[in-house]
Amino acid sequence: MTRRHWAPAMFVAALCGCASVSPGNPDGSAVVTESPSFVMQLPEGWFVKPVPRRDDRASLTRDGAAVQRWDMDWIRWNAAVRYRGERLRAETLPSDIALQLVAARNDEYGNAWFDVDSVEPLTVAGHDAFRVEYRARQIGGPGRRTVLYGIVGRRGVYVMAFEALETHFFERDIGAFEEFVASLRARRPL
Amino acid sequence: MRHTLAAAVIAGFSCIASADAPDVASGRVAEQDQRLRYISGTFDDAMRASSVVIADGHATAYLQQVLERLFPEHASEMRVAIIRSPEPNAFVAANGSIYVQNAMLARIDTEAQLAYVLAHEGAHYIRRHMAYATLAAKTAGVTGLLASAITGVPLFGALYASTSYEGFAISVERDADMVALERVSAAGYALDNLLAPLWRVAREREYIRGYGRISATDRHLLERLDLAQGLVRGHPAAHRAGETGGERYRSATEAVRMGALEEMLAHREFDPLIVLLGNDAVVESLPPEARYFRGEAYRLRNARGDDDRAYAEYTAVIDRLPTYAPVWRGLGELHMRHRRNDVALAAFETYLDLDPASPDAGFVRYYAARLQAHP
Repeated sequence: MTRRHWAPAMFVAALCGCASVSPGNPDGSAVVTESPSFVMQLPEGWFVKPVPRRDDRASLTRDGAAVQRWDMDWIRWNAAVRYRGERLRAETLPSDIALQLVAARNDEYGNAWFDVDSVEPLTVAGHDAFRVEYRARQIGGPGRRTVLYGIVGRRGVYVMAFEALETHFFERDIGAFEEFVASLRARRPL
Repeated sequence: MRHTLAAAVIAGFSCIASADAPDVASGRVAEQDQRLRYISGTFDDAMRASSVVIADGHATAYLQQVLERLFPEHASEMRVAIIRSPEPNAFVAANGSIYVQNAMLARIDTEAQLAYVLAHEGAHYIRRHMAYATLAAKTAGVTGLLASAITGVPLFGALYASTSYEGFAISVERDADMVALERVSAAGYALDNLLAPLWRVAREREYIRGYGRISATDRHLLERLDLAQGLVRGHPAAHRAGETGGERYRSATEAVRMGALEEMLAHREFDPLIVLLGNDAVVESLPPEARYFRGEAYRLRNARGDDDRAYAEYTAVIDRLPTYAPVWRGLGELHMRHRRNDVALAAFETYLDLDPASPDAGFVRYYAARLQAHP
């Protein structure tokens, strides 16, 4: 197996929670997820960090999760939305799902406050999706900005969120994240 | 013998643990107080830096005025700030910085009630309760360890420490309530209905958890309220006519209280919003659009019968304030859920006419386009 074949295979393993060590990404490789079945192009220098016991969640970072992180999460309909206890319902409007996910994420990170700047509909890889942008802060912590995409499918919502320190890192890395989302190709419908 | 010794040691430490009479000024308390004042300064800085403090100069100045009326001799030391939070609470730091959460202000409808909350927090400061509490926690911990060591029962110490500290905390709250009542009365406020905001919080929690399933914190709140109610009833000024300052409170705090409703909705505090805005006194103290938030809470909670309730709230707002844009978006989404596409579309168009640049206008245009394509 050549290096060209190894890198994507490692990422598949990492995203599926099978690899115990996060591989680096010296060449800018493809990220392949099995559930849902997506392929995305990961920019150079980013690391995948699988979430223990969750083969459908992963985080990526370049300088450390406290500085900037991309979170990918596959939430099926009727699943509890993390710590909120509320369930994700297929009949909920996408704009309401967007705000539900933002509230859940803020709960999870213990932010003192958050302000939503925009929430808009769009299409990602042929699927209905939404993009929500917000700012948040913990007591004593620096300001952080987040862009969260939700791709709505028949079985649930695939979430891709980019969160970074408001100063410097958000502006520096948002372009790479947008390219990462734009590179997403669905191998099978969500 | 072993048990007699254990009992004697525990009894000795109990006296220290319950040495809660705040009039006893000891060197240890003063030292602890100094330490906590220093830490509190750092805490204030963190609060300011995290932008959690609401920059409403008018409302803050008003709260400060009420605080100074209650504690004129401490006016130069005590500062009040309003902070963003979906939780109804207020707290004080050891340096006299009082923080009132905007969700607490949303439960209050008169200046007298606000005065009681500020006086309670101010009482913690002037009686140096934080210093006593820190020492009591340390003592309770040491006593617990000793109790476990002597009795040989590991959990006994933890249980002993926690009940001993719990007793202290209750007595401190009662002391603050007593001081608060005296201060509020001395400042000339009416004492009736003083505890209404705290009863509202207790009722919300009862509603959310269901009867018989209240937590320990809620039980303490209910016990404290019963005790405080008794203090108010037995106070010599209980039936004296006093100032309530309803109008003044309402106009000075309207913006922060409306902000609190937004905060609660964003944090998906649907049940508290529904209970809070089910209270006539609270609703009357707010502008007509406040009922929109109850409508949204019903629509988003989406339990059986909630859509009809949401509809009633939205239409009540439209009757009184048809130019309030968000209610049209909510109404459109409600109609769309029930496939009443023509009325949904009309509601969305009204929304976009009223507020074309809102952060969610893109989504509303998307829904409107979908309805036009599939009428």
